[in-house]
Amino acid sequence: MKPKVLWVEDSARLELANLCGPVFFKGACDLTLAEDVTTAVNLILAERFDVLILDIRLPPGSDVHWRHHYRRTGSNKVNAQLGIKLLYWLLGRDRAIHPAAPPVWIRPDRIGVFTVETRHEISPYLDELQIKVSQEKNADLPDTILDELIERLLSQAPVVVE
Amino acid sequence: MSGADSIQDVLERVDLTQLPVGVYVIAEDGRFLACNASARVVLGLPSEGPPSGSITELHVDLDRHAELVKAAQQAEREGSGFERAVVHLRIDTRDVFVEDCLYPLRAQPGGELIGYVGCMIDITEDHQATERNLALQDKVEELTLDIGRILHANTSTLLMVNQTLVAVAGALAPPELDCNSVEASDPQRIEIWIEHTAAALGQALERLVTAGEPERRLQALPEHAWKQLSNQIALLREYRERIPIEELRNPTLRISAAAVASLCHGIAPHVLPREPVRDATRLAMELQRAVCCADVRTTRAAVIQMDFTLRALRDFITAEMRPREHRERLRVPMLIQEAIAQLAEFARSSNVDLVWRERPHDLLVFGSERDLLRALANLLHNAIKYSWRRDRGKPPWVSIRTEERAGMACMEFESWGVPITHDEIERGLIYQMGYRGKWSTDRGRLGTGIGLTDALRVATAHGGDLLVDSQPAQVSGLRPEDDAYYRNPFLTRVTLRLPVCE
Repeated sequence: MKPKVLWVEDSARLELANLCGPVFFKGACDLTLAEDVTTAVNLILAERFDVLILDIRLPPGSDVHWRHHYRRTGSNKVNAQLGIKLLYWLLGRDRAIHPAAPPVWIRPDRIGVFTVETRHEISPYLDELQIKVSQEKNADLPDTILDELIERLLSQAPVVVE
Repeated sequence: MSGADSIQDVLERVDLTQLPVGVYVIAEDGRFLACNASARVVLGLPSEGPPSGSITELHVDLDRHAELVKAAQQAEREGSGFERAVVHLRIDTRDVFVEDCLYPLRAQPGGELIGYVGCMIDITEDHQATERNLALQDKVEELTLDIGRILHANTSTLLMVNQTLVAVAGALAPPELDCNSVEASDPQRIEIWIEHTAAALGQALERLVTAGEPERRLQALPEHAWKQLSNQIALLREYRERIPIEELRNPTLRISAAAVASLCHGIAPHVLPREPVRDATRLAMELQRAVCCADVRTTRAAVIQMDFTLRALRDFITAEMRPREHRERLRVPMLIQEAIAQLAEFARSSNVDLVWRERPHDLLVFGSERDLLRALANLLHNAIKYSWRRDRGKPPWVSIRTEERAGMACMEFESWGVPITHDEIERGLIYQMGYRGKWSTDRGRLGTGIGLTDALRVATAHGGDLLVDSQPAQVSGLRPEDDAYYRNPFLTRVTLRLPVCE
């Protein structure tokens, strides 16, 4: 069975579509996309993923709680940093973010962050959450970067067939 | 009346001591003769007793006192009263700015000059705030010009990118599709080209992996390479099923085609029948071309959009720096025609049809052509950008209407797609600088959030207004509180209304 990967990224079908090519070409994992936080949470609550790769500047989607967080910061993806809030909720660090309980299978070594923010900018959060894999987006990246991130996470937390 | 004491007596007699402005009397050489309480505070003099020292010692500019005296004498001669001037003093180590005026003081009778009476107000805080504001304004102006220059340079880069993409598209597109430029190319036809080529490549690979004897095949390529080629057959045949998201198919096909082409080029010559190798190589390269052609189209649409955004931003930022635009009588159809011409390329690259209904030829408005065109282009750009595609065979459209209603020239842009919520319209959020619509960001559309702000500003400056209305396109029974309500398409109408000019 192939590892299941969820990529939470609102530009995945647009500017970053090329990054999915190598993943599908290799066919080594099942890649699913979520383009907003609500969709990501619904998918995560419905099925188990071996790897999660998250953007930080995400739109909220339709869920009222995520929309509330979004509105509180002026309805601006850059200020809202919903990806950080999603991480805190996923790893059970802040239950006030969303009333739903995060699934028990979530582990920090299965999560990677792929964002325009530098590691330095978000390191206080990532260090606290013990997330080691992060990649800054820039124009120089090869189109294999998503595949490489998936490999790094899978080698950090190998998938065990139960 | 003569001497310091008697003048001080006069001041006290007329009760000038507690006036909230500083009143002082100086001798001809600038020595203080008398001061009221406020002047003593401003000038840092003792609160009681005869004032000591000279006002000339307090001036930062030594010539300033002589200038003020000269001006006071001239004003007296001309009978023009007090001349106010801003004076920079240094009291101890403090910089103090006062608004000061002097008037000659003459003995009665005789009329000889015995000194000057002065009146001053401490304006240090106001003066320093003004200085800071002026410095800040200089910086803003400098920054504005810098931003304008940077945006201009980026616009030139985009122009270069655009022209290169057009040339690349011309080189990639096959003559039988009759689309040797991006303008003429039809996305549906490119999609069909990709679909057919991928299927043909799958078949060619099937023939290739069974061509010749097994031993000869292994002489031509190592075993793992044959395995890689075999794996591509299923991917090329089933890419639609394997990759449900349409936008992710082309990047995968491009990599697949490149891998096949590379493997085919590595096949040892004269070992396998020539035809299957040649077919697979040719089709792999054609698939690469077809996918790149589609990518060029998508990239060009993004470049055109970015170009418009940058130009709108540059116009907006430098609006205050430009001289006031000339205003004249303008024909509404001409304005709409020009706005459509500006956005035609963007509409074409976004695969959106522009439909102009009702166009009265005699409708006139009075205003700045440049500003009104920018406002109309912003509205049209938004309408194109936020249009949804209804189905595969039918491009979305933006409907434009121009008509006269109650003495106003109405220019309406109607699009079908991204909703604007009632709340955003009611609270005027959509007109706020930098605001991006609640449902506009989810679809990854580039924008600055100044389009409607600028359009409203232009409308108001021309005595008009802007009306925005967004309603569900179909009756669904859903309520605004329902999750799916704003997931459905909305009909959005934005109308620029300007007074009709006779």
